[in-house]
Amino acid sequence: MKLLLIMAWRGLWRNKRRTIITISAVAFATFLTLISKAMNDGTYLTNIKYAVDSYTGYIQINQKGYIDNPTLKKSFFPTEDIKSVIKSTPYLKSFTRRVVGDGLIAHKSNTFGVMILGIDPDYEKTVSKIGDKIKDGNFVNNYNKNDIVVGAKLLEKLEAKLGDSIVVLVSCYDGSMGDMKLRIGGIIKSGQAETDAGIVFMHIETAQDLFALDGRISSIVISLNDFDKISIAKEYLVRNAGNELEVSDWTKIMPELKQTMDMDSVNSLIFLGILIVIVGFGILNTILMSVTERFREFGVILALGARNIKIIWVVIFETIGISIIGLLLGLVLGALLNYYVYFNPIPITGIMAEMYSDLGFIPAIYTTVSFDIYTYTISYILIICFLAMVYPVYKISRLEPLKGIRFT
Amino acid sequence: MEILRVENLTKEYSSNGVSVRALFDINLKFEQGEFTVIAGPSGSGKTTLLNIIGTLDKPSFGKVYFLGEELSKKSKSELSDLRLNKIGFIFQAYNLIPVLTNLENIEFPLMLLGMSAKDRKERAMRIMEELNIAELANKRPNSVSGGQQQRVAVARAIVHSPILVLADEPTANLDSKSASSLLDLMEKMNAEKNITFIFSSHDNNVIDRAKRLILLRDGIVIQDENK
Amino acid sequence: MFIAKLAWRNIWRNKRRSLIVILSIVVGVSASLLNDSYGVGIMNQMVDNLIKSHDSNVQIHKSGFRDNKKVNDVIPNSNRIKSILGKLNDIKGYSERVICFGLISSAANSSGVSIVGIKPELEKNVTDIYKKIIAGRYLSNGRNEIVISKKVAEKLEVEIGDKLVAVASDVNGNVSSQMFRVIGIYRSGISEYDNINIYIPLADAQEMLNLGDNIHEIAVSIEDYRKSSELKDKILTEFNKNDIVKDIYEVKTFQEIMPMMIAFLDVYHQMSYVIYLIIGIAVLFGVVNTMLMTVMERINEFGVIMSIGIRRGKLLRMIMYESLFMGLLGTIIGFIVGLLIYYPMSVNGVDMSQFSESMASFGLPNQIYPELNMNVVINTLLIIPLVTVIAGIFPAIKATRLQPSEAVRFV
Repeated sequence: MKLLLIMAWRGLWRNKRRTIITISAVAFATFLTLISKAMNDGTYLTNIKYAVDSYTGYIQINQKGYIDNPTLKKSFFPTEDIKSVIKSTPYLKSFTRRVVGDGLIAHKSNTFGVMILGIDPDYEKTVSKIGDKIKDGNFVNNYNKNDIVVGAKLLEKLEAKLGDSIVVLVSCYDGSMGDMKLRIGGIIKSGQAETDAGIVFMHIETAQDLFALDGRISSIVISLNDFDKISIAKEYLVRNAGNELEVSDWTKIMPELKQTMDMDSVNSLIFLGILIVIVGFGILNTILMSVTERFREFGVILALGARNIKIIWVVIFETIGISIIGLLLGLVLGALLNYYVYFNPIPITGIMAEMYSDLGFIPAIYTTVSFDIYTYTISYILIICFLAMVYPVYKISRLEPLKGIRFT
Repeated sequence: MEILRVENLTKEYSSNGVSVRALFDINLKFEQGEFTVIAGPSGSGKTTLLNIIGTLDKPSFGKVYFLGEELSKKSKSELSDLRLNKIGFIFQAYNLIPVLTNLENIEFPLMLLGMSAKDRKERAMRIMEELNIAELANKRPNSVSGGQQQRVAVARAIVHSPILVLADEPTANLDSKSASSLLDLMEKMNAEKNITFIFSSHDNNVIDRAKRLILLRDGIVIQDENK
Repeated sequence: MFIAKLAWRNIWRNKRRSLIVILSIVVGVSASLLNDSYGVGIMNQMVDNLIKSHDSNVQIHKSGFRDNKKVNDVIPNSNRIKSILGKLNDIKGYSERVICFGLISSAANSSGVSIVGIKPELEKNVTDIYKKIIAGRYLSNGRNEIVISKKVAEKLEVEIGDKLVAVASDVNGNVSSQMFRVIGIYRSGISEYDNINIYIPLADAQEMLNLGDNIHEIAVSIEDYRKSSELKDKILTEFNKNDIVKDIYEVKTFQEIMPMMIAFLDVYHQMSYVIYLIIGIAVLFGVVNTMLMTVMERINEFGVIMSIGIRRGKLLRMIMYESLFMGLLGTIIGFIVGLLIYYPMSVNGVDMSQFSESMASFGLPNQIYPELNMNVVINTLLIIPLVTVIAGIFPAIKATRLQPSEAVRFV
């Protein structure tokens, strides 16, 4: 065995240039696979966590059917039961109640459609970061329950300023029209067009009054300590929440995000697959050529009485040698880049940056340093290297001493 | 003791659509300890005969007996084992594995036989000393001369104590001094270890040294003489 | 020419090796073709979809309306504008619209919407919502009809025939409400529109908002969306000719109306070049390695012909031809293979309904039809052969560096 290994190792370096080029090709494919997966996964993960931390929460509890069709009709009473279930959820950080509904906001002769968000000032800040973006005035608080917080863009469109009164018009829980006069107590600037022009915030009790909810709420938003443990927490809640409520994580709340992520993964898979196939052909050719040019030598070895399998082992070792060196090289380079970007995310600038912020994404590219990316890359690359070996090994298995010796 | 026998050996093959008869109705016997040359002009069938005797090729008609066993029914693996255990080969060129040192080349058959690394090395070194090539041990084949390479080839051919060594034009690429020296070596092995040597050659120096001369022409034995 | 013939034959000296290289090129080229045509399809469909669903090619408003859609900001002298447009002959049509935010409520629920008052016959020339009706029918000239999206219908829990109340603030600041009957439900497949656009007859909208004869928006459409800027220029020129003060109006192309989308498409377009680059590099490795090997094996031969007296340049060219021919052969076959896969996809589309939410958020339908344009064809046919030529340079130089006598002795 050991002699065969020595033969394989030295055999690789017979033609240094060829071996180096082949190793480089493997390293290239490895590097690309690693960093594209890392950037893909990393950026999505970061953005999901951002969205989840900033606004949607890790898990939401709603009336069954609410997520598919969010209407006031599907609001529910937050019972002590459900509250105690939530309190005993593993990895719980905090939770809060919200009321969500549509309405019209008017000032002078300007009327606009808005989404009205009623929040609990004591708990909301433990679950989201909405209040952080307050630019002027105060965010929703317990002192001025009749204040409303609007986005900067909306303020502009309404031709209003801090302190002005506006009227909100809604369709209530029971179907009747409801309205309320509120004072603009705070201005928010989040950078997201949707928020700044289309959402207003008020105290949850005020919202419940406005919509005539009688104590009902639209959702309970839950924040956890560990993003990776969402499924455990969710499972616990599903088991204990009862039949009338549904428990949803971000994949249900933001399905477009999940799908976009999936679509991107599929695209990457296909593209990287093609890349690796092309590199695979290169490896195949290299091995094939290095084998055929040694046919005479192999013929002699067979004449001596060696079995074909011995030569096959030598070729297998050579292929493994090239694959592993290339793989390691690509992994090291890729890992270095990943770590660097992990600590120094690449910022996106210009119009793209605006677009990203607008959609609620952080305008930067992130990577991840989780183990997955390595296993993904390694398996992908190794599979191809092994496939490349098949044909040359087949050729050797059929070799006979004279055929080899006479080979031209 | 008879070690090898061919009966009614005929070998035909087709080359580019033409049927060529390389050997026709050859009948020969070989005893242990022979130092025999199969001579003849090129195209006479020497190499073909040697290949068949060495189990590298099969006859079209006729039978080959090695140590009393008929070879036609044997599988490739069995023949391979036979070669490994009983036969040694020396080719005209491309004998040695370029990436291994001379010593490692000689160790090779021993490795195939499963000998331990320590034993292998010892035995190979011993043989190299016997053949006066010990100083070439850690060099690569292509850094030594043609004559020295062939000496290493001889060492490898006998290191596992085969019964028979087959050499196909072993001196063809050598100058006369190296050729002579190689022959001395082989004669010595033949005498000391009783290894049977069968050569093919058209080199007169080799023919002169043969103890038995078989002459082939156009695939037929025209002379078979003990000297 | 002789050299080229020799180069061609040299390729086939080792069939298997050359075939493997060519195969890798075939894979690379067909993949590039499909990837690029898919991308082009996405871009065109996205733009087309957005334009045809609502935005149209060019929009004319009172200056400032686009940013702050105030109900008072009606188009001054809209009749004059309309007559100018009537004289332009390469437009497909134009449509008049009233747009305002409002609340529509059913017994079950209410929803904030963008109320769009249209003249159905005119609108048909501009948008294809009438083709996307999935229940009931499009607006006719009847009164109090409303067409809403499936999403809104589900939210309000209404069906065809149900009644809805629309509430909005009129030009005087008073809240006005009007009852409508649902006569049609549409689905555009674009989240942005499905979530908020509902359609009522123009006359109803004008009445509800006390607008009289006024409208907020004129949407103009043409056949080829790429000529939208030209159209805008034409309109502005006509304004000039007719002494219309330009500052009162804003004339915006769809690019100006959805700059984000355009930026996104731009970036997407750049990305496709990156793909070509990466595939090119992958192919490069394989070709360089192979060429080096074939050249090194023939060093003796090269030595012999150099002794006979061939000029270095000719030898260099021969080797580069070898590399180029493999590239060309692979490209042509790859192109054909790519086309063969492309055709059924371009006819039947690629089904992305698994990702329908995501597609809708980008403004894309569920079936994507890849499209070939000149750009794609040129890129695909040119890039890989270029790569193989580059790949041939290093081996060719290596081969021709040696002196003839050295080469002959090379073992």
